[in-house]
Amino acid sequence: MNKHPNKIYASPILIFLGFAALIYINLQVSLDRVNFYVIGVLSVVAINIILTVSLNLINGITGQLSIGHAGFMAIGAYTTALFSIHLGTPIYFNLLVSGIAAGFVGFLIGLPTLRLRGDYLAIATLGFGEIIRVILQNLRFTGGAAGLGGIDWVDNFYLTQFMAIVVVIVVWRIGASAPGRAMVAIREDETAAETVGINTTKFKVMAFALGSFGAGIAGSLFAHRMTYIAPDGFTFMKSIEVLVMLVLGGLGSITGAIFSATLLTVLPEFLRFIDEWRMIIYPALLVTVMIFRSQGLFGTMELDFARVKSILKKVAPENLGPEKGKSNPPMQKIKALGFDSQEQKPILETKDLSISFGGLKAVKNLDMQITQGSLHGLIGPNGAGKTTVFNMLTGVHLPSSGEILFNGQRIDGNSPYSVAQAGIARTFQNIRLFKDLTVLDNVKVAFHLHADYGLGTAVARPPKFGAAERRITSEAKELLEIFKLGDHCMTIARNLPYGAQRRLEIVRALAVSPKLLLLDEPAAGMNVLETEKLMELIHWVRDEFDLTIFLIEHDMSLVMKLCQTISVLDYGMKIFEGTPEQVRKDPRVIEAYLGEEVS
Amino acid sequence: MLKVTDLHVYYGGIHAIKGISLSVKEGQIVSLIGANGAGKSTCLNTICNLVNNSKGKISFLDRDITSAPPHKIVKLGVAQVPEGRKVFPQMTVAENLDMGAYVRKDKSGVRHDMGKVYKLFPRLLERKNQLAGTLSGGEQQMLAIGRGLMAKPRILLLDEPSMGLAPLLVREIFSIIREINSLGTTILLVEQNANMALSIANYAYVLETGRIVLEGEAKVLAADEKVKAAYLGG
Repeated sequence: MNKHPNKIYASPILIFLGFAALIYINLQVSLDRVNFYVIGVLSVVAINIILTVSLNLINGITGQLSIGHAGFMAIGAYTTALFSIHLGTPIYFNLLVSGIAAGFVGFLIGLPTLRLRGDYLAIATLGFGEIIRVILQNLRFTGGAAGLGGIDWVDNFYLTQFMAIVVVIVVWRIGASAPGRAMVAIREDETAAETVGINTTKFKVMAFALGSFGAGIAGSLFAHRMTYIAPDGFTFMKSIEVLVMLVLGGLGSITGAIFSATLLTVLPEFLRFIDEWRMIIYPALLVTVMIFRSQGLFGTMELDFARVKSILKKVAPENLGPEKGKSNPPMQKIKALGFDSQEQKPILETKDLSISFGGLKAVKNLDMQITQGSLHGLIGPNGAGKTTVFNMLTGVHLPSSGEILFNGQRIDGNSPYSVAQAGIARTFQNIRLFKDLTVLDNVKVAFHLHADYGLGTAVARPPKFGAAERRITSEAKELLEIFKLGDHCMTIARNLPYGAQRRLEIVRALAVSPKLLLLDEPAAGMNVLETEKLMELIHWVRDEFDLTIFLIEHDMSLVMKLCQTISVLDYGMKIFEGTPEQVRKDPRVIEAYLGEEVS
Repeated sequence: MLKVTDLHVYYGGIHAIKGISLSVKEGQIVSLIGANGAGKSTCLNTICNLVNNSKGKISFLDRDITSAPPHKIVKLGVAQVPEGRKVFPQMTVAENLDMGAYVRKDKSGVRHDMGKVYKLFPRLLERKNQLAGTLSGGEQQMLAIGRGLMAKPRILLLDEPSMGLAPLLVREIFSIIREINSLGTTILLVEQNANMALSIANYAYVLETGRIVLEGEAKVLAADEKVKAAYLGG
């Protein structure tokens, strides 16, 4: 309940202190003023940061609960040990190979398990982590329970730090890019993410493999520092330790992950003087933090360099001001993709479409054609199967029988994201926004398909990246401006009033640049005046974006004025189809739906 | 019966309600109408103490309930039917209704009231053992109202009961609301469908951007030119 997603940016003093500490430590180490033990602890800090931040990509950003991170660390550590002992390969090589090995296993494991959601995934990853450990314990070439010794000792203090910084930057950059937004969208609402064209399986597997890659690197650095590794160093407890660090810092916050990984690694060392008591103080601290800050120390808060820069230079952060000069009207671009609406051919066609839920036929033998460029209405009593039709058209439900043709191509059986990519976007009856994201980010997520760059670009950030991001931001803002949401760009979506949330959902759907837009009760919760405005807007949108619009609505004043053709559904069957005039007069429709007095 | 005095609410950094005072007399139907974002739902949520960050005083049957926890408020006899239905999707219809009576101890009374709810909504009886998540929108709305009634409230707060309902059903729901009222439950109704709301209410308040701009007998408001132009469509 007490979820405060509002981004509150940490004070620049914190950033400054962090960097000061980093410089101070390195200065002390380079001047040989620090003993071996302290260097060891500091290296473990860096390794734990790598583990926590890479787990953050899976658990925090993408929202998949993985509790087997130690398993991937083990793969990295053993890969390094085997290469180092048998082939004497250098650390840089081992680092890379270990990362790839862990990442590859992550990919293999992720492919089947990431279809599971929530608790099931947690159990699957837990099982996987244990399997890895048991295998290592029983294989001869991994040294069994005794483990492997004699790994090349490398003074990798600086390298470990460097790698920690690299991992932080990589995860950070992924987070603030189109692929990162896709991942966050999956965390917020997987179904909604699919319907804006995000291949959720692909991005989940991607996050999982990359996170595992990070764990592999951590394992490699660990092996080279310890020179001896054994299976009991990678138990379930290690996975939990990393998870605790992540949750304590705040799921989703890289800053929090760094902070709490440092704190929880160093604190036990300082508490050594109270001996056994620290076993009580440490958990007590955790419980206290979770009670008073259930969202973790940092929540989803992130240090924001744009802000630090702005304070240093006393200029406004660039992403907050409106874009000047180059405005690139999205509609023209989308229009260019559109085609002639003169032809009266159907853009969408269903043939003998049926679906059953547990024996109950929700939609029966539906034959329907929607003309290119038309405004087509779907009405009928509650429970008639209208939303179910939408769900079939968008791939959310698989029809039991029949065909769906979109521009002459069969799309039944396609998953929601590919239907969205083909050009069908939708809104939901009970609004499915990415509630904890800002209004602007909600739209930017949907512009995902316009982002003509991949993960590599997101991490390396060539000039192309900035240009693409600026274009996405300005196009998103422009769309929001059109829908009178321009002033709300930085508002968290859940804080918008109901009507504005509905408008935002339409904007998000338009950002997919669809050819067919499905609106599920767009006027629900709007009063007469707002409904009238919405009507104008829908009309305008259809013309401006060259769309075909298919809508479900109970507000007869809207449907009758707006739609050229109306189909009426009752008990899953089409009982009538015609112009508003015909529908108004048809006795069957009056009996099933409209009632006697028609307004 | 229910009295709200000088209520201010801050919501997501916005001053959503700026000094609202209203009162609901026993046995009445009182309606709040107004545009989206005017603060109607926030007002209901604040009465049930589901929103923090409020200033002002709320009293029910002369008891101060401003800072009482939500479950206590329900026990005192205030039940809310939330916007967007919010039924428990993985529970059956009957279980949902049972949950509505969670604060009650009188088992026979609960049985009796469940019978009454089924009488009001025969559709729910037909679907007694169906999971609530598989109901249609209109049925879910019926269930949400039924669940609210199961708490045996003195006052029922309804948030947009007509939303997403077919025209036939809208009329049905409103006649049921009137029936519930005639059986002795006071009603505070938030509604976008101002025509319908004013037709069944005794008294109404018009909200605009967090303030009450107009109040009066529902009949008088329905005839008011400004109200007609802004909310009734001509």
